[in-house]
Amino acid sequence: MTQIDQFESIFRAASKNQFEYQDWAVQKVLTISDGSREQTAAFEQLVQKFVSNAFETSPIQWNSCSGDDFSSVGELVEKVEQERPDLICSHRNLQIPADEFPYSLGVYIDVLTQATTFPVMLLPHRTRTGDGVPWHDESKTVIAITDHLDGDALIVNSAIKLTSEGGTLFLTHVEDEKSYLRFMNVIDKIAEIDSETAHEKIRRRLLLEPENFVASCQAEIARAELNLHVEPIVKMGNSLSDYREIVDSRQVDLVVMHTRDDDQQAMHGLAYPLTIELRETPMLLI
Amino acid sequence: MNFGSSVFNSVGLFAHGHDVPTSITALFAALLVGLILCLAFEEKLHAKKSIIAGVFAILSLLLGALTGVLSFEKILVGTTEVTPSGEAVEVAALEQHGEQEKPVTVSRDDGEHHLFLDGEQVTMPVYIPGIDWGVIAIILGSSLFVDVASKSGIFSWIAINVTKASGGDPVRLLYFYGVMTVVFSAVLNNVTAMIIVGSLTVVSLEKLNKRDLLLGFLLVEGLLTNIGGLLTLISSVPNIIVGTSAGIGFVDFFVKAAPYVVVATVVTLIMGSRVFNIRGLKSREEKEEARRLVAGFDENDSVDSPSFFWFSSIVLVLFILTIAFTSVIPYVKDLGMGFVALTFAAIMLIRFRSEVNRFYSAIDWDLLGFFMALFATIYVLEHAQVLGAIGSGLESVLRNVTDEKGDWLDSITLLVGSAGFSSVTDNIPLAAMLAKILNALDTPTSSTLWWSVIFGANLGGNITPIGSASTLVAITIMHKHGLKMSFGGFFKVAILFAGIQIVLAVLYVLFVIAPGYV
Repeated sequence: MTQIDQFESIFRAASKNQFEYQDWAVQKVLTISDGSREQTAAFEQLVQKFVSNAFETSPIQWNSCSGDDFSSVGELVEKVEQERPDLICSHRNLQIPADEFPYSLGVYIDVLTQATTFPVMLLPHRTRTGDGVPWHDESKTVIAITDHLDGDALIVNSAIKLTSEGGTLFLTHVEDEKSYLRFMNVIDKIAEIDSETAHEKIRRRLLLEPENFVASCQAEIARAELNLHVEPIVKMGNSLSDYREIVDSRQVDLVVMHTRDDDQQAMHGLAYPLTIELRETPMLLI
Repeated sequence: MNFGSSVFNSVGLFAHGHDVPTSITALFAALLVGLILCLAFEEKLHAKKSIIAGVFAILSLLLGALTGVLSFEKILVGTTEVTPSGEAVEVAALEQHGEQEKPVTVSRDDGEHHLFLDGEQVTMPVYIPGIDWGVIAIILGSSLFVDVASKSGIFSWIAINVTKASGGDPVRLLYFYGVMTVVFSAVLNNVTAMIIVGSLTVVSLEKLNKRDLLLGFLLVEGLLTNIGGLLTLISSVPNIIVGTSAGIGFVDFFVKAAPYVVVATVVTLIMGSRVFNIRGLKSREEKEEARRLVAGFDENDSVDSPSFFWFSSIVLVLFILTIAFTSVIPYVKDLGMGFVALTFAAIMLIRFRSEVNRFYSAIDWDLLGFFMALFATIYVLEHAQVLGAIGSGLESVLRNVTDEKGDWLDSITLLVGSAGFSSVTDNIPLAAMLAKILNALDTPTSSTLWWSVIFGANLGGNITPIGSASTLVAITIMHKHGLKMSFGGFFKVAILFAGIQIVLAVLYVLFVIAPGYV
């Protein structure tokens, strides 16, 4: 390694992403349901109640789209594009039988999360638990899930917006241990690279960056005097099982994660399996 | 003045009084030309300096032995006082004391010769006394010291704080980095300064989304390393060689060189911002965004141990102070700056006493090998009367080398000539040769000719990319980041800066260092 590389590495390491808090101005919400107008209105009320402790709902323009308003994906997308909401609220298995396809989001939700640019709050299917509300009363415990938290201000700002007053926001970053070990295995076979240093330094650096970013989020949230508690969960592990364990053990009310991927039309890498695994938990898909 | 038969043929520097046929001198002069050409085409030859100089040292020594230019007698160490005269001195034969040869004190006082020899005779390879071990010790000690100190994170801490202080404004950043380059070049060395500031420039301009300014920043910084190299006696190798030969003290050097460094730095930075269209941020939003981005730098990230950080900071200050006052500190002044540098390196190494090997392996052996081989080659060339011949040539060109102040035209000739020579090949052989020649010509310490060599040898490096190692580092960083910069392209831009710097240096030497010429 040349001295130029050494010093460049030192300065790149010292250059840290700083979180910048920006309030997500939600002015228009569109609720979409496959039920009747009455059922859709009831669904909208449940959604309002769910987010009411996170932000003021009354100044917001709430529009709805019931099952009678669209009969195809194209029609729904056209309606959404006309409305251009700041947030879409819908439920799983939109226009498909939830009992027959329990592990599917349904084509409507798939298209909404991929073909439009609007964030989608996806709630468990409204009929899943009969007449009872199939999710918690408020978003007191929110978790932002990503495999690259460092510098991701969008996911943090979105999660902040939906965390109830005095609630807890978990900022998680689970570094995939299998991928890490695969790279280390290759490094072990390259004579020019000091394996011991590589194992120690790369592992530390992979976790240090999200840790630093969480610290920056905590400082910025304190500076902005927001009434919420931020906790970091930064670790190596098997992403899917670890996230499931984190969500279950902390009784999470809402999961926030990315679903859009600029490089592909399919859902973002980790998002699809998580939406399948965490069927009972409300999600904000951005 | 018959240069060859007077000073150079006495007991002075050149050849110890023995006559060398002109053909032999010409042969060794050809070797010198070969060495200079090979150093100029170092990149084309894909050979490191130490290898080039090493090959020429081997050739010189072999030819020196073959032609009888070198003498292989025992060397006398200890008290020796020699007062040269106009003629060669005959040294009395050494007395035999039993089976041991012992030197005796020979005192001849006939108004012409004084020779006292009462040391001890030792056997050592012929090339050993030719090497200036004082210079080697300074370079070895300083580089080790800087290398260990940099592990404390002190230099990156300073660099990041400077970046933050600039607020991310491009013009302020250029000025701040420029000043930092000069100071780092003066305290560390040109190459390390360019590496530190150049690397930080890449990262900070990327962070500020101003990558289009990278080429201008790197070029200005590269040019400033050679100006910073003028600030102190130990800032560059030509300073060490010429300054020590001339007997210029550290403080005297700094006092005389600093005003020029300040003026040249300001002029270079103003020119740099104009030539490369580096403009300040206008709107409040832009300034806020830039400030926020540079605030993302964490100066403490590279500080692993706060205690070692503070220890290094204190020792660094002590090192600079001790070097500055070496010439007046009792006992230390006799041991010299090389001793000071090595001692401070040892103090720093104690912190890493169980893992010193990694610092030893980081020593620039190429540079040290280059110096040793170069000194050995020059030693042979001295004996072959090559330096005497160059001195004669120089003396015929220069008007009055022994003038107390130094002749004004001689000063200009030497400064511009040194700059031209340094622009195409290494400035160290030039400095080493000219230092020896000026010394042999009895050039007084007060003469501006010494300063002409110092300024010329340093500033010449700014004319071409191969003129100095630090500008070569700047080009390497440019290429690493996909910026195109050819030899001609560099010359076209740099000649403007170097030209003004050299003109300023000429005026400075004539009107400030030795006022009253005109």
